[in-house]
Amino acid sequence: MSLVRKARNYLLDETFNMRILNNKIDICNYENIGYLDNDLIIINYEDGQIKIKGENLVVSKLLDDEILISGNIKTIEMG
Amino acid sequence: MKNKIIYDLKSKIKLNIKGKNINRFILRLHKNKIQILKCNYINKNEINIIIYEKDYQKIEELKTIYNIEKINTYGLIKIKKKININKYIIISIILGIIILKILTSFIFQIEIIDNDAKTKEFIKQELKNYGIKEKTLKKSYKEIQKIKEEILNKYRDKIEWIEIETKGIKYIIRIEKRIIKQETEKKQNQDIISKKEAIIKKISATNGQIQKEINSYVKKGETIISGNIYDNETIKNTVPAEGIVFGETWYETKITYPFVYQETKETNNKKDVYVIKFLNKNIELFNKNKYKTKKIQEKTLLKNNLLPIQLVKQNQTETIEIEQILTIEEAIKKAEEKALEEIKKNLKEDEYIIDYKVLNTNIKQNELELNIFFTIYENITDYKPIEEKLNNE
Repeated sequence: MSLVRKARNYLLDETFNMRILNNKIDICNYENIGYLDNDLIIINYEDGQIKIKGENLVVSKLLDDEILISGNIKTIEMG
Repeated sequence: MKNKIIYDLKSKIKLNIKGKNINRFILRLHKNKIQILKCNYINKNEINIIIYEKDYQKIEELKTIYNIEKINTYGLIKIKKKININKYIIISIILGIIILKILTSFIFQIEIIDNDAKTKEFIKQELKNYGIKEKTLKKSYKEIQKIKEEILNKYRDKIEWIEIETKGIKYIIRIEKRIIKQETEKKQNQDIISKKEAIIKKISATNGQIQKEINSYVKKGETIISGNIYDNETIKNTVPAEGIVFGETWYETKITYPFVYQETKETNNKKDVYVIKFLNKNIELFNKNKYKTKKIQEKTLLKNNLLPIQLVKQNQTETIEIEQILTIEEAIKKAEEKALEEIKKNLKEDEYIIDYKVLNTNIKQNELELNIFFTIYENITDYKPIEEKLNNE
């Protein structure tokens, strides 16, 4: 079963991943947005949640499977 | 790249959204599965977003207190919009192109360049028969070439050359007439004599008096058809004798043939190869199995007048070298064949070899020498003018 899931993930690229750029965070294959504010954004994913803290945080792109957050990012917490 | 094109073509709308706590509205869009392709915050309470056009109706239903305004469109919707605005101009351009295309496909004038009105009329009529007339569709290059060829073949005696040039909506026809030299000069009185020693086998006289019988022996220069018409040994009239005489003639030929026989023979293997020629170098393109020896026929495809480079298409036929050491019998046979071939090469229409016989065979170290006697059926017609003096006598 795990093998099938791995193959599916490889083909469809369904694994959660996050790229931290200069004052930008690009998150792929998330589940939903838990909280959205200019100082805090909480993103839920399969295995937990990500807390992004900062100033003037905004959503620059919001697709079904991808979210791009811009702003003055200070901390990123994963749990 | 393909995805980028699809994405660019998809209909998208740029919206300006105003209202309190804009983040709440974004969350609402997210919960309703509306994708935001781009989001620009203008201030706390105002954003510009780009969404797919299909989601616009959903946003209208979700907007509640928020003020939404369409700013711009992208993709197919924009193209449609532009087409809609400029539809009359586009239709006019398309119609114009179609009309222009139709008009330029027709011929409205045929100009025949020649001084002779009769020739002009005859060519015009002939072209009409092939469908080249005013207010008809233009012919393709191939068709024109075919028509030119057919006209030339049909009127070989009248036309030397014809050119049909297309210039816009006009055909310009240039012709070169064949000038036939009139045979105005009166033919000189003459006898038909024997070109060489022979036994007469056939006499066909169209003018003059036959002096010899079939199977009679003649020496070189003997009169066969006389231009003088005799009546009881008196010359009644003198005419230019005309006709043709065939006779049996004899030749002895000496031929040598080597015992080592070499021949280049073509196989059935043929192929087309594209070759780049640069100076004296030949670069064969995509030719994996090259022939060791080959016969080449080539056609130039591209040529540069400034640089010594050209692209040619070669039709290559594989050849093989055959080397054989012949026995005496085989060499005699080959020598006979060669001699026959050489004799046949010199024979004209209606002439043929009656018989041949090997007189003697001389075998040398590396070659064979044969003396062969040939009996030929040959045209022995020759002419001898009748001098005035003789005529008066």
